[in-house]
Amino acid sequence: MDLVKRLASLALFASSLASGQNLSLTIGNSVAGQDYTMKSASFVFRVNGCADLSKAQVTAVAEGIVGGARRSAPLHPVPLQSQAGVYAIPDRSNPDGKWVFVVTANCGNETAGAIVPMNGQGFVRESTQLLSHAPSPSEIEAALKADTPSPAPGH
Amino acid sequence: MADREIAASILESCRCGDRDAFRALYEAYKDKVYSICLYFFHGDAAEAADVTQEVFLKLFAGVAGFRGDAGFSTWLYRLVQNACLDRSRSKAARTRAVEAASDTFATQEDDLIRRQSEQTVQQAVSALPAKFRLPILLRYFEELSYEEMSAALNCSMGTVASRLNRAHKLLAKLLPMRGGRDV
Amino acid sequence: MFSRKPGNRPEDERIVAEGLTRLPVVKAPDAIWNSIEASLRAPKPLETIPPRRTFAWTFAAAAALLVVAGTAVYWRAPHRTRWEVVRTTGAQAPRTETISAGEWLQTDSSSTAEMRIGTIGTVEIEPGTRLRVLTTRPNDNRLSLAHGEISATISAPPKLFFVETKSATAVDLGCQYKMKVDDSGNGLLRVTLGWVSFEWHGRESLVPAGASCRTRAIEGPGTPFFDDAPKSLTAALDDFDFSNGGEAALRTILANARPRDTLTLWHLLSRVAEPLRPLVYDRMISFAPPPTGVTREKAMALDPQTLKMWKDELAWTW
Repeated sequence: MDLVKRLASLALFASSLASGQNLSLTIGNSVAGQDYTMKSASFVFRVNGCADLSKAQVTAVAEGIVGGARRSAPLHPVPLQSQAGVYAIPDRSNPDGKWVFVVTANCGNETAGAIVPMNGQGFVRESTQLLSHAPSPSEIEAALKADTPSPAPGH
Repeated sequence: MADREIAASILESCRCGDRDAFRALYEAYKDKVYSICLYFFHGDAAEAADVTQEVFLKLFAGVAGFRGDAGFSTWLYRLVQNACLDRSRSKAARTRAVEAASDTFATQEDDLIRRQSEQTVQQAVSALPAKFRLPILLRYFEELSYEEMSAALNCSMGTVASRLNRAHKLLAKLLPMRGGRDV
Repeated sequence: MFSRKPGNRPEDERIVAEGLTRLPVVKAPDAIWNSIEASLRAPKPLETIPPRRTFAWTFAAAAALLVVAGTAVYWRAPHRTRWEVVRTTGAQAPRTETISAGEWLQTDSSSTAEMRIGTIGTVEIEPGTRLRVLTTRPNDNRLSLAHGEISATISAPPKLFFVETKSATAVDLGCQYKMKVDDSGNGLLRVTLGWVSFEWHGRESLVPAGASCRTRAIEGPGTPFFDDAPKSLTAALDDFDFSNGGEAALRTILANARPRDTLTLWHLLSRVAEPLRPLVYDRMISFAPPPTGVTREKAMALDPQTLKMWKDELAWTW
């Protein structure tokens, strides 16, 4: 299933290139931000392909299911001055329930997004979806319903 | 005696070279000056200590020339601003923030929650451009009036108001909503 | 307009005011006044203090936390970080004591301790650990771990906190990590947040969160690997690093590497014999093309700027 998702992401990325879509996101562990103050961030993300980063607009929201109830809460991307166009998500996901962090970036008339599943350890790279559009409600719901790998033993 | 009266008598003694008076002045203001420097320099304790030392040495060196026509706090925080900005320019300070220091120990869990909360606030303050950071710190640590800040920061009250307004807007976006940073 | 009168505050101001009340007023370190005072009078020559008193914490029944002091020579440094041992386990109630440069700290088989490094972090000390505080300067907080296990959580600008062992020095780059060594200096560093630079005589291993690195006496630090790397890879890596595993071990590492293991491969690029570098390079680029500016020629030549550029980009996959 992970392989299918990975292939799907690659296909999306390829099609976005073919259509001339330049804007994309890269998600990484906090060390990729090269900012020690953000070492405990849930993850960092980079906006790629935006000609004028000062005009990039990024938003992030946590979407979750806790005790069967649907929850949403705003997240607070912090721009890192170590690298242009790189932001950290300092918020941590609540251990209760299941959560995905949804990131959207706009630059000019282009939009890119990411759905980043969270577990007790942080973000789940294998299940992260990188999109050439703002994540849709149905994509978010599907991500919330999908199985998320649990933290590895010993953590 | 009110704080301002204390400062006046101590200042007079400082002008006479009274080292004990200077020590008293230092003790009265050291924590706030250090805290403002610490948060200005993104939690860098070494930088904050250096700049704090520099401020008080300049204060002691210049106390003879302090005429008292402006408030002492105004004069002190002008020294703080100049020292912070000079140091910031010379070292090309990076935007960083660290977990806040604490003088007290709670349980580990309480401490972690409190430190996470403080870290979020520090990160938000650190994300501000330098010219907004000091006004915000002076406003909430020293509770300076706009008039006092205008004198300390050597700019018009309109500029103070404008910078605070922008800083508030930026910080309001960066700070978590009521109830903490966990979602 | 410029009044500070209370009343209806804009929502932004209310949020900010509420947030900033969480920022504490931080006590200025005592050392600042010492430095100011020193600047105000003539400089003093080197001072030697008499032998320190011995800290002997004995507990009634179980063996205790023992601190053996040594003679320390103090310079009138501009500042000094205050190190404190703030907590112990065992029969006795927790106590807080300052510990200074030159002093030893030792825990027995049933005691632990927590050491506070000024305002920059803490070190948890496990049972059966012996360490010595080397320097306590704001720009250089350093201890020597003779044997045992510690967990460090540091919140400070990089390169202010160092842990030396017989075979490597851990340089904090903003992190949280565990380190364990035996009397010979053989050990393991495991990083849980941030990065650590693990160094020895010019050999450097960068260890990010989720990764570990072994170290051996005489050899120094090995090659970092992610904790979830295949056992076949880590076994071959041990062989390569410490048993002259050579090309055979390298090929096993490369065959078992996943995209994330470019952490290991990036380090190996500068550690393998030159004829073997193409093997490592080719395996790395099979996972992802190198970033613009990283050429095969420069990578083969181990150009520092090229390697750094590649590492910074690979970090997005680690």
